[in-house]
Amino acid sequence: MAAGTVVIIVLAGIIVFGLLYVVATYNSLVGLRNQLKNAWSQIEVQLKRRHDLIPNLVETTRGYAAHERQTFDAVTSARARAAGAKSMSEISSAESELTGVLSRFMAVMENYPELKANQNFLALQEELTSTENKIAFARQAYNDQVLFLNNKIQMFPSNVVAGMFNFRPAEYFELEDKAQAAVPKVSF
Amino acid sequence: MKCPQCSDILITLEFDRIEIDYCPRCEGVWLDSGELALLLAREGGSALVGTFRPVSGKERKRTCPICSRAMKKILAGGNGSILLDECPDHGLWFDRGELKKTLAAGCSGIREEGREDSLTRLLDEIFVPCGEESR
Amino acid sequence: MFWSIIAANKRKTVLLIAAMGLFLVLLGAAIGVFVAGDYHPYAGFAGAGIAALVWAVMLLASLYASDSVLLSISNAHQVDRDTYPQLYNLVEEMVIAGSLPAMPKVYVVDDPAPNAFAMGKSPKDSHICVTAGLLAVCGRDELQGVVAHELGHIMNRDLLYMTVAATMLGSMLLISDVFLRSFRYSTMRYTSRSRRSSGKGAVVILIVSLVLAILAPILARILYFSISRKREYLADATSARLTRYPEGLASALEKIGGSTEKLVAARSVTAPFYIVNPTKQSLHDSVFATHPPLSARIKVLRSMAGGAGYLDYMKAYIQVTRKRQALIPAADLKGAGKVEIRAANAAGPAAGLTAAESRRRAGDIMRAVNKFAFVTCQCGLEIKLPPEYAGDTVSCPRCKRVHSVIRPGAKATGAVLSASAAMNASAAVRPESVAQDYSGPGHAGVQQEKLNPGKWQTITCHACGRPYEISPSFGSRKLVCSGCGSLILFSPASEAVHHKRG
Repeated sequence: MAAGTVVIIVLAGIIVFGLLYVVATYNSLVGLRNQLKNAWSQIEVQLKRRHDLIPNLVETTRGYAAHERQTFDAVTSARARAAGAKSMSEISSAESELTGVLSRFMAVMENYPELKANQNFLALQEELTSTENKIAFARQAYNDQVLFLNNKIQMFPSNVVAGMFNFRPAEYFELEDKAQAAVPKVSF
Repeated sequence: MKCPQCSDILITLEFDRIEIDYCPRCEGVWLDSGELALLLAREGGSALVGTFRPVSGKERKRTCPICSRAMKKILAGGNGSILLDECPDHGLWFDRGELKKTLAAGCSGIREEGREDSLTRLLDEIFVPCGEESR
Repeated sequence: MFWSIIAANKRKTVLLIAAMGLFLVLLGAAIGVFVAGDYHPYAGFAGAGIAALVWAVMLLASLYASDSVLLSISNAHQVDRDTYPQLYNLVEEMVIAGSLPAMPKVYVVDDPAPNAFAMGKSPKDSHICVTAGLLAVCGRDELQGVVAHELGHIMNRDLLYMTVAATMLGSMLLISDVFLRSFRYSTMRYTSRSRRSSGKGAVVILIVSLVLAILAPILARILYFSISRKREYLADATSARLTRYPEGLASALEKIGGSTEKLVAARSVTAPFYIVNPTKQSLHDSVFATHPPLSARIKVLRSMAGGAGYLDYMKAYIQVTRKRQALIPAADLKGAGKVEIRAANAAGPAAGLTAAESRRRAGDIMRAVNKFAFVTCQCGLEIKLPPEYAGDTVSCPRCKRVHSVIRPGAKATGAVLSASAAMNASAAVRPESVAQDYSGPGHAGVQQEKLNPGKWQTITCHACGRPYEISPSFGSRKLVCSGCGSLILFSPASEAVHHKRG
C-alpha cells in the first residue's frame, strides 16, 4: 500500500470521526436543553398551583382571624405580584417574596387553635406544604440541569460544538427568602 | 359491616381510647375478638372471659358481620344470665344493654378498689340514651 | 445526568451478580461432568447450559409474577390524591426531586406493623406500598424519608438486580438440592460405575462436584445478602439526597425498629423489598442478613454533618461502619453539587405511641382509605361512618347532637368551594319546597336559622328547646331535631323564622 493511500484513509477516518462527534454532541446538547425546558415547566406548574391555593386559604382562614387584615392584604398583594411576573428575575424575586409572606402568614395562623380543628384548613395546609416542597425540589432538579448544560457548553471540546450552533448558558433559578435574608446581622 | 340483628350498617364509635362498633337502630354492639378482654383489663376484671360457656339457646341464630357464618350462643356472667352471640374467629355481638350487663358482671367484686368506672359511665351515657327518657 | 452517578455504581453490583452467575454455571458443569462425563465429552457444557436454562425460566417467571405478588397481598389498597392526600403528595414530591419518568402507583397495606416496600422492574412502571401502621406512627418528614428510600430502590433499579440475584440463588439451591438428593440415593450405582472408569479421576470429579454443590449455594447466599445490604445503604443515601433531610428517615427507622407489631403479609421471598426486614430483626452485622443492622443505618444517617449529598453519606458511612471502601467511589461523585440539609417541616407524632394506640390510628387510616366519613362530636365522641351509611346526618348516641355527614371526596381540596359560593348554592333552593317534603306526620314544625359561615354557633330547637352546636364546617342546609323531629332549615340571608305547622 502506498503511503498516500494510508494518509487518505487516516484523514477520512478523522473527518468521519469528527463529524460523528459533532452530531452526537449537538444531539446531547439539544436533549439537555429539552430536559431543562421540562424541568422549568415543572416549576411553573407548582408556582401556578401555589397561586391557586392562596385564595382558598385566605377564604378559609378569614372567618377565624378577621382582624389580621394586614396579613391577608400582604398575602393577596404578594400573590398578585407573583402572578404578574414575566421575566426570570421578576419571577424569582416575586416568588421569593411570596414564600416569605406565606410562611409568616402560616405562623400567624398558628395563633388560632380553632383552625387546627378545621379539616378544610388542615387539607389546605398539607397542600401548601407539599407545593412548597415541590417548588424546592423542582428548583433543585432544574438547577442540576442548568449545571449540566452549562458545563457542556463551557467545557472543551463540547464548547466548540455549542459555539457553532449558538447554545447559550442557562440561568439558575434562585429563590431567596427575603424575610430570612433581611434578618439583621449582629456584629461584634 | 351489617348489624346481625337488624341488618343496618354498623358505625364505629370512639371515646377515651375505646372503640366499639354500634348499630344506631337497635343499639347493639359488636366487639372484635380480644376487645372485650382489653375493655375488662382496663377495669381490672379480665377473669370474666374464662367463664363463657357455649349453650344451645332458643334465641334466633345470628350471622357474624365479618364472615357471615352462623354465630354460637354463649352464656356469660356468674349466674349465666346473659346470652351472647360469638363468632369464634371474629368477635362477640351484644344486644342492647348486654354489654353493660356483661361488664358489670365482669367487674363485680372489684368495684370497691376505687377503679375509675369510666367505661361503665360511658356505656351508661351511650346506652341509656335520651330516647328512653322521653318514652 | 446527575443520576448517572448511580449508574457508575452499577458496576459493582453487576460484578457481584456476574460472580453468582459464574458459581451457577460452574455448579451446573461439575454436576454435568459427574453425572454423564463418562458417556459424553461435552457433558460439562450441557450441565452448565441446563443450569443457565433453569435460571432463565425462574427469572422470566418471577419478572412476570412480581406484580401479581403485589396483588396477592390482598389487603393492599391503591390510593390516589383524594383518598390519602399526604402520602400521594409525598410520592409526588419525591418523583419531582428524583426526576422520575412516571408516577409510581401508591398502595396502603392494611397492616398495623409499620413497614414499606417498592416493586416494579423499571422507574416507568413501579409500585410503592406502605402499611397503615407506618402511616400511623410517622410524621410528614419521616414518611418522606421512607417514601424516598423506596423511590431510591426504584431509581437505582434494585428490584431488577435483586430479582436477578434472587433467581440465581434460587436455581442454585434447586440444582444442588436435586443433585445431593439423587447422590444420596445413587451411591450404590456410583460404586458400580467407578469400577468401569479410571478410578482416580472419578473420585476427584466426585469430590469437586460435591464440594461445589454444598459450597456454591452458601457462597451465592453470602453474595446475595451482601448485594442486598449494599443496595439498602444506597437507598438510604438516595433518600437523604432526595429529601435533603436525613433525620426524617433515621427517625422513621427508629420507630419501625421499635415496633412490636408483626407484619402479617411478609414472606421471606419479599423480605429484601421491605425498608426494614419484616421477618426478623438483625441486631448485628451478619453475612446472612438482607438488611444492615438498623442501628448502623440510623447512625450513618445521623452522622451526616454538613450536607445531604452522596459524598456526605459516604463519609458518614465509612466513619460508622469502619469499612475501607465507600459504596460509591469518590471519583464517581465528582461534579455533584453541594446539597444543603433543609429544616424540618413539621414534628411527627411522639415516638412513645402505645401498641393499642398506633393500632387504632392504623385502623382509622384504613377507614380513611376505605372512604369512611369521620364526625367528631363536641361531647368528645368520635363517630366513624362506613361509606354504606345512607343518612345525611348522624345523631351522636352519647349526647344526641345531630351532625351532618360530610362525605370524603365530596370536595376535592384543589377546588374548595369558598364559603360564599356554598352559601349562594344553598340559597338557590327555596326553603318552602324543602319544607313541604318534611311536613308529614311526626314533624312538628319547620324552623329557619341564619348560618354564619366559618363560625361556631349555638342554636336551640324552638319546639323542644334542645340545643345544637353548629360547627364551622357544617355543610348541610337542614337538620332534623332528634328530640321532637322538627326540621331546622339554614339560610344565609333571611332572618330566623319559626314556623309552627299542623
